[in-house]
Amino acid sequence: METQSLVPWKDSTASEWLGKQEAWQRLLQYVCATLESDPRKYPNQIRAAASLVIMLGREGFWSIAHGQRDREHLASLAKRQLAQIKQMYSIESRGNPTLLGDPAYKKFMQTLDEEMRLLEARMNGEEINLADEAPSSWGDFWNVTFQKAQS
Amino acid sequence: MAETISNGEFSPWAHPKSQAWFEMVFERSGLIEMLAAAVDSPHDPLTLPQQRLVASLCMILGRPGIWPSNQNATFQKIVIGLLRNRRLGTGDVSRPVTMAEHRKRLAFNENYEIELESLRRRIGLSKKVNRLQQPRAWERFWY
Repeated sequence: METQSLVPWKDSTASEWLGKQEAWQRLLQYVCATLESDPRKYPNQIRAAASLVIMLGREGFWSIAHGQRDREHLASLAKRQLAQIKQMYSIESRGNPTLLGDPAYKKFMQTLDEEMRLLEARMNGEEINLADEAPSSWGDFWNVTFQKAQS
Repeated sequence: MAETISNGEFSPWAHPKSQAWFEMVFERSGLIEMLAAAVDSPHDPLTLPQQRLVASLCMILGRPGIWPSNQNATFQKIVIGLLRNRRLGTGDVSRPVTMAEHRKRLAFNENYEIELESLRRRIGLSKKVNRLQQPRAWERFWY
């Protein structure tokens, strides 16, 4: 049996296998391309792409040319784009007191902050003193059923 | 903006435009087909660590909103393939192992079983109802 890490994506043979798959490379390319797009036109798509950086932007999953340096660049790009989206919505809310007072709006802005904080932690690559949890709006991340969602 | 938050859902995969993006990315990359073929390949079977990596990808990406709804049957097929391979022992290498390797194998099996249970639940194959936590082996997943 080969040497096995207990973290599934830290097993070198498995990670190399995934990195060589063209489909996987294409998916990562789409994420990168989306992150380069205009946040005023594609805020939802950029946020979706940033979520994949949060979930998959780690050694073993994301095999890119210059390793950690490129992953940090990607996290930095995703964070900047989320910041642009947040600013865009902040400006929009200034002329809309109803929206500004809407709890859903506040929750949404809080979610963006949490996502940016996760990306920032990834950029630093350091242990930081934060709870190891998904952003609060991402639901019960580990308890998912397809059947419930389809009904 | 109002449209983005009006449905009370805030995850990055809640909005229809986000879901359309995920669908497009999965379709154009061919990732789902690749995973399904890899799990089901009799000639070039995945090793256990490779299967576990596929399982972890399914745990992360296999959720309504991210995984395209028209590919739910393929998700089920991939999970069933992983469970079948696990039962058959595909990827196991039969040779004497050291005690350290044996312990590592036990830990691997224990963790992989937790991950497979998470996938069983997603497709309704498990009757267990206790709330699942982040797999211990995944260490600090979010940071």
